[in-house]
Amino acid sequence: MSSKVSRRTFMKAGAAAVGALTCLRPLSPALGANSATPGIDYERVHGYCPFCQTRCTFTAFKKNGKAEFLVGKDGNRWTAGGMCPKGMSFLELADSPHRLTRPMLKTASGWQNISYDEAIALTVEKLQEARRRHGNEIARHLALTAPLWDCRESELAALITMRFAGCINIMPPGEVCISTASSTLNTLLGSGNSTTTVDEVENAELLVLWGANISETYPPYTRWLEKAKAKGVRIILLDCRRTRTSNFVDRQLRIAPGTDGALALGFVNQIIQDGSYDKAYVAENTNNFNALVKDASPWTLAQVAAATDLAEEDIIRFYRELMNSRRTMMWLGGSLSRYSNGMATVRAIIAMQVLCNQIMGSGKGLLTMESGKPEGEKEFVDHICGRAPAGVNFRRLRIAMDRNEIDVLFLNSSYRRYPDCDGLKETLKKVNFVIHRGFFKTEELEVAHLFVPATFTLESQGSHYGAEKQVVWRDKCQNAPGDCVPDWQFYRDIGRRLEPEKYPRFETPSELATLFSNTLPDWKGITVDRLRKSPSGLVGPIPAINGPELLGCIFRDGKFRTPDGKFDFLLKAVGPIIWTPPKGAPKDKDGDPKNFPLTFIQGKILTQWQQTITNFAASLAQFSNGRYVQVHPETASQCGVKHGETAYLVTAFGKVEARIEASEDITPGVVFTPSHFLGTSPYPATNSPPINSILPNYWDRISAQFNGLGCMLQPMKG
Amino acid sequence: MPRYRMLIDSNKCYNCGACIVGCQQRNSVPYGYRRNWVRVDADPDYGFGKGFQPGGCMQCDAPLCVEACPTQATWKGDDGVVLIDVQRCIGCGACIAACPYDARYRHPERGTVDKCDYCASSRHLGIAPACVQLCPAQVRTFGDASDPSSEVAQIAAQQTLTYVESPQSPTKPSLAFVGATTVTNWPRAAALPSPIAAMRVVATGVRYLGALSLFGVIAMFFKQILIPSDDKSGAEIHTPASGKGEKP
Repeated sequence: MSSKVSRRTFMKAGAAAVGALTCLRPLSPALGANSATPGIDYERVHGYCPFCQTRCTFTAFKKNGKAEFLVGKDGNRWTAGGMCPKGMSFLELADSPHRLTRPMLKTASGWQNISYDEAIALTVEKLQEARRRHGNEIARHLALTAPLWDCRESELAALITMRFAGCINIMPPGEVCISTASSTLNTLLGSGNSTTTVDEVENAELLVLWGANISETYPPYTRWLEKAKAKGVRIILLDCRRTRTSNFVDRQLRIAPGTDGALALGFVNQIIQDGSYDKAYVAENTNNFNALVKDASPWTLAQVAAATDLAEEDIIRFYRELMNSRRTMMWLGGSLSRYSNGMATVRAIIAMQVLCNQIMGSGKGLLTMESGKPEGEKEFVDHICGRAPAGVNFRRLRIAMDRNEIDVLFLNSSYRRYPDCDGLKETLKKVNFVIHRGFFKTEELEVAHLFVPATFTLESQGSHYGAEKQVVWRDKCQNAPGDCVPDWQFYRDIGRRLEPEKYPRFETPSELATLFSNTLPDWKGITVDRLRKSPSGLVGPIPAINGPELLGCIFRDGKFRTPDGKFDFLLKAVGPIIWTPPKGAPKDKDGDPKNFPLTFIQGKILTQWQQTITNFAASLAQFSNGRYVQVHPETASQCGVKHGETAYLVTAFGKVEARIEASEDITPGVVFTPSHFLGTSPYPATNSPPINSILPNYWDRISAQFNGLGCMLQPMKG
Repeated sequence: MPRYRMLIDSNKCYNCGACIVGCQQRNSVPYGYRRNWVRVDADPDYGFGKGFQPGGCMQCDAPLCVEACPTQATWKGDDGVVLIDVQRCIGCGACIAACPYDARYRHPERGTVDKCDYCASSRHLGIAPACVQLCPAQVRTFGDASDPSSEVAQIAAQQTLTYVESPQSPTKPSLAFVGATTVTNWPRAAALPSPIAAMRVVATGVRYLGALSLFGVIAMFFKQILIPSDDKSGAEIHTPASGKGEKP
């Protein structure tokens, strides 16, 4: 059987087909074809970056229950909508295939999945068991390490739970970074944060970036350097390394690592000797000036030059610029707190500013980028739980763990952030029960007994704080996978079981934040509704509902926040300002310049945040190429290593492999390596044994110390 | 219609990479592949000894990529943006080779070519391209250059602009740098892969032949309408109904 089609019918059908195709899809771009995706709408959710204290705010664009991309909030007065790659990485991390999403209990046969309820019940049982065992001595046997990677409400929920459990040993996150500067500022000035807000840099005449690598550690704040420059502010950077920040300064002094205190004391000595300090101000507003005179007297120009490796003419020029400036601001880098002499350094720098009356007023003061925590947390927890004494720091906790005195430890952060982390790992194994809150498979699982997965910033609402003491708010954007729960929920659920009658009733961070602002007089004006509307967050304190934010210098009454309103050059609990080289440095009495003649420093880099989370981000791994050490070509040559080859970075305590990056960006004799690498990273670009495994357990009186140690580079073949 | 344009003040850039990651997330660019970049060049004028030059597709007015495309999958739109029709792109890579800026890449999952289109897919949301919006240094300015009140038009009118262009393969880039920038002659000479270059010659012939055939078909079409053949006297077209192949 066949069908027959006439030519005419065929032609008609053909013409119709061509016409239809033409209508369906334009054949030529000239006819208006366009490849842009058809417009779809997105739900917009407020958020903030959980990482550094810049605390960038953003809008997450959400589709099908997930955030697809982020847009910085243009109205944020501190960041103007900018973000950095670190902050953007959590979009990827939340969906990471490497993420652990089930609670796990370590058993004789390995890790076994358990339910969230079982994890809570087991934790409560361990806490109750410890209470029964130790009774009123329980405080000595429990501990928690911060930071919590979530929000301020999570911190509050955890602190309340710990207090109800009898725990007072809360390890502050700053012990490995800024605690020295923060504690010193708090003791001397009555505020552990910046003495002013960053917008004041535009009103200064001189801005000194003292070890503050702003462009690489807090990238969005580079705009403040640009703004200052545009206003004619002179910017001087003190850093042994040339970095991106160097592009924004007028002059850089490449000072030897850990010798900043000597430079500061030299200036103090100079202006005391020539009488150019503000005598009237000092007489009226300070105590124990004579102690400072004595502390600074050894620091002649020659002594300073010998200590800092700076040329005398460069030092004189720097001092002259300081003396000629009517308004000077000093930005204290976290690096100052990472040498064992950090407290002396910070005291000397503060003394410089006080002597010149450069603390109070517009365009004056001290900035720090870490800390920024608004006050009120302790008062709130005391209000709910009753007062309690302060706990120990991690150095003492480690001793207690070594003595098998700790029953339960909540390990919220990486233990590898502390020096001698391999030794610390063995110490942690002596704790009866370690609960680790985390996201990925990290070395912490080796010491933990229970793992309970946490949530990322998009997965829960809550507030946080930044360097300007600003509080910001985020709303929940998407559901967490599996059994991941936010810290506020985890600790609340434990606390409720421990003290069902006393534990505050809240179902969301919003309710806890409201309870907080209703409880503390200084927080009355920082309401959740107002936070939601503010792209920048709110700078506390705001005692009145709808009260104004107070920016600028915190000493509004012209007095220091000390008991007598004066600044004391003598810290009786600490003693005089005695500057010595960092412990273990080649020039230190404990150093070994023959075997370890180079100075070791480590720090953050632009594309990574600390030692855990961001190492799991492919978006950041694309900028890395494995562990490296930056060293001057002359130094590399002296050590027999070449640019690009792999060598050993050796200290008296161990060695790690690293690629040699020979560069004149670092001064001869110094070796820099990034802090962030992780031994369990899925990406070779960020996988390396922790650097703290080759560092000794050195501390000053406040925080752990990582920099300034003597080291050596060794060829692999040797 | 707006005429989109981007201007870059490279002196403000410090190569933080926010533009790269922001673009990847906004446009589903796999990590490791890029629609944009930051060049790093030694430059003693900067304290760091290095200058940074952000970049991306230059949205050229004489784009070699458009010329190179054998399927007309890419073209310069009236809005000033060089676009790609992924439905028509065959992923041959001719445009990748033809771009002096290496601004294009082949998407590893889709197999088609991808490049910066000023975040066209999210423009309806009223937000700037990711690299503009997320840059912490406000290095890039984007907008409608045909609107004299726009920031981009005002900068273009008031400031000296620098164009980065290949001396051997000029393409009239519309993206420009505000003031001086680090290096301006880095774009390479454009080159087509030899099979594609040969195919272009063949394609020209095929195009003429096709046009001739089309002309014939159309002529026959009108002839049939105006002077129809006698259906009964003419041959009929038999189509097999059973697949056994009956002959006409």
